[in-house]
Amino acid sequence: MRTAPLLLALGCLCLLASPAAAQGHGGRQIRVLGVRGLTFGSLIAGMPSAVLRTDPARSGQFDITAQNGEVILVSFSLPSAMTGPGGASLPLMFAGTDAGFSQEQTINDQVAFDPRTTHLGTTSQQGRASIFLGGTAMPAFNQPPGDYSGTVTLTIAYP
Amino acid sequence: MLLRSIAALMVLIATPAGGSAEAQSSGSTLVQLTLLPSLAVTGTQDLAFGTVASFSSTTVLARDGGRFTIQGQPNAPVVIEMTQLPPNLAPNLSLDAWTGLHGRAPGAGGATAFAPVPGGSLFAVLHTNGRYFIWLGATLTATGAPPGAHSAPLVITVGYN
Repeated sequence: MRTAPLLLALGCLCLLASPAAAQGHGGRQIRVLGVRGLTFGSLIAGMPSAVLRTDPARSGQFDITAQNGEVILVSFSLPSAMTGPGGASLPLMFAGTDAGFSQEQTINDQVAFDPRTTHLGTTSQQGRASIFLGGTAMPAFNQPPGDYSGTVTLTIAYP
Repeated sequence: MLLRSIAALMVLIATPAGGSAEAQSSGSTLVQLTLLPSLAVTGTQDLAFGTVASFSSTTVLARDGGRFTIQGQPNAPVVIEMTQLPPNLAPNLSLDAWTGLHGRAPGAGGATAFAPVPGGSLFAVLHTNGRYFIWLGATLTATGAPPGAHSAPLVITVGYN
């Protein structure tokens, strides 16, 4: 019976330690939401078209909610092509400055980064940030007409 | 009591591991575009004045004149430029007083009149079947023109708008 108080005390120590562990690793909130797709509009075969990450209507946008003022890892999964009628493939290209990180969540206040590599960014003091994405679509001269689409996925994590 | 304490300890240890699922998050959006079919413009009827005298004036109305057929993306807005409306067919054989009709149906009956100007543009929306039609007429004035067959190209340029 004397061991019982000792174990209880040990349990209490663990209770005190647990919140610290949660803050230091997994307990921190982190969330990303796809807000707007990357939209090229209507294109003509053989004529490449680029959308700038600063385009307020056509650039892709993701909103991030995380811990206040925390560093986060940002990484994209980017399609190399879009899929269209009959499985036709339309090449997509992303260049070194096609992504932008905005702590203030405004399209006019972005820090450019390469969407093809992992990026480190810091959330605002309110725990917010936005990511903007541009790119270039390159339809071939003999590209079948029709609607094309692909999926861009953004993953964020604490380092 | 000992068993209860051990059980409590296990719960406490398990809790942080459950929270680690929140350390990462993913979100997706679409990349989208619509690829328009190439625009095709075909001269489907010549602006023909037939046989004229060396000193004469002949008018061909637009509805009976040259016709272009445009084929493209259904419902797409286009701009149609009068790229080349020749001022003459030969020395002393001038062309002027251009008239035009444009419409979405192949017949000129319901088409809308316009005044073609060399280099001028016309805005239109293609039919739901992607077609559009242009008719051009003009007046040919011969003032001692040389005999023979004379011709000159009429050129329009169409682009998506």
